[in-house]
Amino acid sequence: MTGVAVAAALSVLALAAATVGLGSFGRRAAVTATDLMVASRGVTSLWNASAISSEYISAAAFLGTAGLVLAYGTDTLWLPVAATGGFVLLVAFVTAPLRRSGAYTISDFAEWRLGSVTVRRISSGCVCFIGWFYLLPQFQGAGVTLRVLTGAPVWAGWALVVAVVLTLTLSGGMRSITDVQAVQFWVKLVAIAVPAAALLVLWRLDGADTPSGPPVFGGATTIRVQTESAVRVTAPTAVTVRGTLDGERHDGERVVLSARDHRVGAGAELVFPRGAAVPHAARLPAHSGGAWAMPSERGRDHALYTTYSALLAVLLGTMGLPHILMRFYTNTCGRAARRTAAMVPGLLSLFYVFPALYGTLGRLYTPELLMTGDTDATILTLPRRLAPGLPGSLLVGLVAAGAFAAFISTTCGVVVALAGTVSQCVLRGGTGSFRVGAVFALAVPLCVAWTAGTQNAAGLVTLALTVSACSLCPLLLLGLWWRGLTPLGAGAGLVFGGGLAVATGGAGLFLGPRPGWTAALLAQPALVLAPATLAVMVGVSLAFPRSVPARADRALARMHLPEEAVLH
Amino acid sequence: MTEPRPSVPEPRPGETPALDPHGGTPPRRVVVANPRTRVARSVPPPDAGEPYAGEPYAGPYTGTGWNYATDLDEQTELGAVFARTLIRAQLRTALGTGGLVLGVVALLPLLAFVPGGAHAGPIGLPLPWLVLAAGIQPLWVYAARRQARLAETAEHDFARLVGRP
Repeated sequence: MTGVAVAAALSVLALAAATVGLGSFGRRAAVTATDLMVASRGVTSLWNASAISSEYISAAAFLGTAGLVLAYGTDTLWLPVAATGGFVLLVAFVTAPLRRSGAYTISDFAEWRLGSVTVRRISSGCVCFIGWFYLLPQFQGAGVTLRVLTGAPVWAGWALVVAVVLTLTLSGGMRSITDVQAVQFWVKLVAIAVPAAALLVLWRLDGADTPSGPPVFGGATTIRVQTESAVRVTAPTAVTVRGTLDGERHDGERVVLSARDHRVGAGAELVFPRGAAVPHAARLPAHSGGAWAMPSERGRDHALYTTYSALLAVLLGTMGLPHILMRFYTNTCGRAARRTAAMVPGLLSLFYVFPALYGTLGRLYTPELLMTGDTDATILTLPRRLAPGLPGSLLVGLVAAGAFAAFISTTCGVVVALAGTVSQCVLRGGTGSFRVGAVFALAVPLCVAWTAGTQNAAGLVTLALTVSACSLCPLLLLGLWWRGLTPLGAGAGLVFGGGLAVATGGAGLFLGPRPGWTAALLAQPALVLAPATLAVMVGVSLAFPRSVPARADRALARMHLPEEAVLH
Repeated sequence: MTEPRPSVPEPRPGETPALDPHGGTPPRRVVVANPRTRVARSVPPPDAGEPYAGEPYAGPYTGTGWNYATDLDEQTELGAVFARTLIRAQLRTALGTGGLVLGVVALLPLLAFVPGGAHAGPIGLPLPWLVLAAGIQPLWVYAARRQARLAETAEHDFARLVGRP
């Protein structure tokens, strides 16, 4: 354990130092506010595509996907497929015209296209909420990672990420961040691919097959429960308990757990014999091997609706992510932006194979995570389990470095986007206001992070994507392609869709899960809200066509005509 | 006849423009012709070894001082028609790609009904796993590249049409 902690701590520190070093390399030239926010335009398509992929691969992609696959089975692999598909939509509908509009943030775009400061303010609000929802899982992931690896309290992970991100954004801004992001994509890819290849080889040598029944312990296993939790036992199991179980103190006696829900106290140690079925945390579903391997709708309320809704949220939400869209400003022209975006699906596909592999192997080798509920820690626990000793520690160190690269790169991207938006909208530009904006962007999710305790990273990211799919995505689609959009229509749609999506997200975060149809609607509102928002924008625009901005035709021509055909 | 005459004579460089009865310069008149006509005019006759009486071929015909790009710059009705045509074409391409993406994603949950899918496939992993983790992604890569290529071709053709390639 100490070897792992040392390897992990060293690799995380090395990564943090390298990141800050790379950041300060770009800092020298960044003098004005424009320098802070706009990267130098000499970035090639592949380099910028790496940076974009890096920002998109957050804690949710790095840790969350494997955890979801472990807990819920193959059907959660739909989410990475939808995420990559979202970038195809981005290529088709958004990148080139948005780049040609010359807008830096989405708020700039809204004001330029519709000529309304009010719409600008509303979209800035949406950007803030999307960014905050997006930052939560990054903090969450950093906390879990550091806790699982070194036993440090969760806030230590948050503090580390906040410190590195603040140093980077306050010193070099976007200029340094493009380089940092692009390098970190390849760091993340290596960090996840090398251990995966090693694990694949070990697994084939081991000869174990994917289990057909419920997951079982491969050997006698000691589990230490860190927080008090409810677990569901499916078959009577004899265990040795040290600590509190169902309100009674035990001190190393053998207890037979009957097939029902049990409460395990904080700090309790349970020793399971080889071959015992793994109990599940009460909030996770228990799947047998067959049901796990098949994408299916069993075991959840209104699962078909929830599945389609989550898919649509990820697909459309990817189009409206402010920190991703800002990144295309780094390209010199619309065509380069489109080429850059077209490379991203390839890079993402390359990456997304690996979390799925970890989740599947995790079911074989680390099933106890289903009981402790720490499914986000699958990637971190697996190498040590398959390769004990020094090789395992080294692999864990590599994975930890990749995970922190994921937290840092995504957090940086979101913070720059938020700070840019806030400083231009509220504080009216300037280097100082950019820095104030960065601090503001980090402070809000830090205050809320305590309440997000039991949510997994992928669920939290879906929340951010839902808000984006129901507010900024319709604004972009209509603003870029339909001349009839009016400021009134856009504002009404943003308030309706964005407001309801934020409200449902907040309800899910603070009130916890509930059963039934209303709960399904509250948990995944995108399938209803996104088309409704589109309808509100179109309907209100058509009802009051007088306020179509005079510039609409010129703006559309500017966005879609190739640069060389337009007189500058 | 050293060069084709424009249908509306424009003042040559150096000439003073003719004044109209009200004293101002007359509004510039615009050649309305099919884009094909212009392309045909701009190409020298195939059998003319030395076209236009010894003058070298000097690029597309611009005898009136006017071309399609002028319309774009001056935001005329005709320029707006050009722009709208390009936007419609680009929107059709984008909707095609969008339809493909939405269709594939809508079909994914049907993988649940593949018979015998849960059994281990080639490398000990179930078939739906392989399809979802690695099977769909090449389609996305292809769709993104195709979309970028089609949109770029449309833009390139447009730039050539207005004479600013």
